[in-house]
Amino acid sequence: MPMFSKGIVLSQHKEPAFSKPVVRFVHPQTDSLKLDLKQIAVQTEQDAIIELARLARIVDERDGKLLYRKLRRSQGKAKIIIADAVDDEPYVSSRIGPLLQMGEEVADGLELCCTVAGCQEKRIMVYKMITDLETRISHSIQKIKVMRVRGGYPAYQQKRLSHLGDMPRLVVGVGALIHLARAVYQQKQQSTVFLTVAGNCVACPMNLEVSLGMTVMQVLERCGLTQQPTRVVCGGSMTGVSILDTENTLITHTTRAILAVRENQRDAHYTCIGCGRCEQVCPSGLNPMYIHRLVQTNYYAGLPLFDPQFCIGCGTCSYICPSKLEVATSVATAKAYALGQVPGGEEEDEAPEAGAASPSPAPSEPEPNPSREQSPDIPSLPEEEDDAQDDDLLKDLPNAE
Amino acid sequence: MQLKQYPAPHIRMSQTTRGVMADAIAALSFLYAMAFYYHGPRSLVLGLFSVFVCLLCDILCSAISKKRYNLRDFSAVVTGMILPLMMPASVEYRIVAVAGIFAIVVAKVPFGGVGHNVFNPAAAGFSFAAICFEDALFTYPPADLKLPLWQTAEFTLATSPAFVLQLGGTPGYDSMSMLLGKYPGPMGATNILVLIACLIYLVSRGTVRWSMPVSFFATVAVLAFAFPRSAAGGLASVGFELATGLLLFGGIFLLGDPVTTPKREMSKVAFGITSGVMVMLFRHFGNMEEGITFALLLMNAAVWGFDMVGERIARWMRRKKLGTLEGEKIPKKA
Amino acid sequence: MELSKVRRYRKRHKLIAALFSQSPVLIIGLNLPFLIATSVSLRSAAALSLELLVVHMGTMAVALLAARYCPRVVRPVINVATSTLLMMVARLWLTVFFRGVVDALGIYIYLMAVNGMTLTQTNALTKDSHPLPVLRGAFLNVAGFSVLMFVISFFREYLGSGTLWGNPVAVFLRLPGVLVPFFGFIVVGFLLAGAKVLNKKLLGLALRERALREARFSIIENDVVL
Repeated sequence: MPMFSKGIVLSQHKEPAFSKPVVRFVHPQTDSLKLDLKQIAVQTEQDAIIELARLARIVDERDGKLLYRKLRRSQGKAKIIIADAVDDEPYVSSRIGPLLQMGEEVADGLELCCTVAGCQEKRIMVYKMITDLETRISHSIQKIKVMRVRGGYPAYQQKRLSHLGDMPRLVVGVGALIHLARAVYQQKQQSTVFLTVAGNCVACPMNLEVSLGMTVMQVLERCGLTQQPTRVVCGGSMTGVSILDTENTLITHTTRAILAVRENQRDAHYTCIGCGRCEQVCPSGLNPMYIHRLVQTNYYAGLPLFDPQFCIGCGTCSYICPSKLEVATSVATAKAYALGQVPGGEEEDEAPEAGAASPSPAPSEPEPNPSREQSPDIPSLPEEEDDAQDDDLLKDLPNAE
Repeated sequence: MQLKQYPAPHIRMSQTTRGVMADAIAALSFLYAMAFYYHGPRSLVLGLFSVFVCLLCDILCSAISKKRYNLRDFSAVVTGMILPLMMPASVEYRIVAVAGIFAIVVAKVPFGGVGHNVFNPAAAGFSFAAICFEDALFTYPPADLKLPLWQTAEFTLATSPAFVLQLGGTPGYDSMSMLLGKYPGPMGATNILVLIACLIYLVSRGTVRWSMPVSFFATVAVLAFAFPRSAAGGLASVGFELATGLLLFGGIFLLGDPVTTPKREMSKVAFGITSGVMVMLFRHFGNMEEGITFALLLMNAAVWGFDMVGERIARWMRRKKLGTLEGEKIPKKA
Repeated sequence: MELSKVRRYRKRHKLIAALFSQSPVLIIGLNLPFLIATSVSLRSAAALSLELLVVHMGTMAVALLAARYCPRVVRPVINVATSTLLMMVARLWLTVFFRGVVDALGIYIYLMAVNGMTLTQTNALTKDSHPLPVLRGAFLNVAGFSVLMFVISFFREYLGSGTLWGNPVAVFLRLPGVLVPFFGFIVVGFLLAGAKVLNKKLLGLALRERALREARFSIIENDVVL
């Protein structure tokens, strides 16, 4: 009996944004920032690449970590480098779009990572279950083999990688690889990020390369709004954060998509009918129905049996609920309680309505997608002490005027 | 622009609760069509009357408890449609009304209403009517007899093959007429072919998970093969047991109610097997010729146990696969 | 709100309280088996009510004396012995009037000797208990029990057997399923829920009246100060 479901197949709606060329929407001042090569005083080629990655302030958009730290940790240890171009959420194609359009830069970036890690194996990971594409994805891009990740949403890359076993690997996002190639060969700092703009209020859905620090409103106006949206989402359609203030919300390194939708008013609220579909589709084998009921009745003492801390935040349970309940939010609340982040659980009376994140109207940035985590199946590379003085690198990023 | 805050995910599946219930209603409508073909318009009127009674009770109870009633929630309609299909076509209207009122007012609303009821309301309503009106509920009009809407007293009613089986005899109908429903039996439970078609439809739409009816029927088949009630042993006994009475109907519609049955796959299988054993026990040693509703009510009371055992096993499997996370509050007592 | 009205209200509330909001049957759940299993005919309701009257009142009277004069260890023995004796007496007396019913009730007649109401209330007595309020409360409890028995029996006998006090009457609908003890559980369940709702309403009134009384006191205080 399958307890851990293989996910649900979603219709991806990636066209027309996917097949259009990636358009640059950059601030000319930030785009022309160059690296100062005189600061580099290292011996080997590997250290040079790492130093360039550090000076260029490249952040891997997969997890929000600085790329040079990942490279340093994998130096000499990783046996395979994998470029992550998996876009399993509907409407989002901000990894696979740049991959197909700027394949050479991706290949260059992969080659540089291989040089750092000292290995030869390279792969590109792509999500297979996209049926409405006009462009075909070939089996190898720039002579690098493409691994197809099968299955429904959430696409468990780890399942595809399980044939690699315990081989130490380095997984880097496609955008970071492009920026690494540009840093090394054109001495450019990372000042842009790739994202998709889509939704039924957007006139021209497309993939954009946007300067960091632009506001969401500017990006939406670049693509044109046909009607006033009722919901603007920063992030994927299943795990994104809905924002309230588009004038003051900025683009960050981990913004993958901006969705602007307008929908009709919801129907009258149904109650839970106990159908059990949320439990059938949970990839972690949880029982969201009972967790939701416990949270709604504030009976947190019964939670340990249901293990809410294993929730990966995919949102499949809320998606499939026929009564349109906010099951995923309840499970997130229960998870916070189980991990001790919320003492007692008395404050959680308002949390199920407040949503996954609570942005303030003041100038703020959307959090880098905190709810979607990596599955603990990846054997992680050994952690090292991170240099504390490099934390201030991210502070003075250029803002658009 | 007027933006509001919404929690993730931001897209939803298009099927709503109304759609889930509509599947069950569509399947039941097939059965009503067959009943209309055999017994005339009385079967349809019975169905409409029962739906009306159940809806009325549900609305009144919601008004008393001051909850807003969501009219698009068709659970009372489904209960209302299931009840007459378990009874003969010659049943009087007041019996249907009594069953419907008991189903909603006693078995559904006090236990929590939609989504939270412990006992299957249709099974409870039928059981109460069976205790009260045993003769009227277990004598059936012969097939192909078109009944008038009001007076049915002058027609002779026959007993169903289930009664014959209870006495230890062999029903004298050949397999073709049993498959097509040309024998006296409950209004919606005689047409085996249509019932199997309904089962396939519901399983393919996802309203009923396949593990439940399969485990239930498999258990009943094994037990019928091992302990035949009639003189014709072996496979014929399996056929008779599965085809007579409310077993097929109950296995699809009563056991397929997601609210009153366990949720996890392994719990569903265990529940199906145990229900099969209980139903066969009731059939062998029970008073009435049809014991599935009583057996199901007993099993409904035990659903919580099945679910909790399933959760513990699931927890063990989950920990084996995913390990434990750092920062997790692992309680001393699981 | 005048004090006399409040006083009258409190007196009325006491009667209602003993019958409903503080009834040991509905609130604490004592003597339920009689309500569930034997409340199927009016005759049996009458028989059991009379028996409870004899047993309960007699045992409470004896228990009052025992509480005053006997050591604590001996009191339960005396109480149970008294109630058993009274039960025998009541049974003999009832066979004169309700012969068939006494036979039909079987063990429940004998169970009345150790019914929950008597056991708990006799154990709650102390040597300072005043006899008159105690006996009045005991009578009201028995009255509450018999009211409930009669109501449930009327409903179940009329619907179940189509008779009233053994005489067949015209009935629109006969539901023999109502006579099964299982349905008795359902009826008692509904009554318990209804009593809870009623209790809340009455409690709300009682709280309001107490708030009024306290307001009245403070006004008096102010007057005195002024």
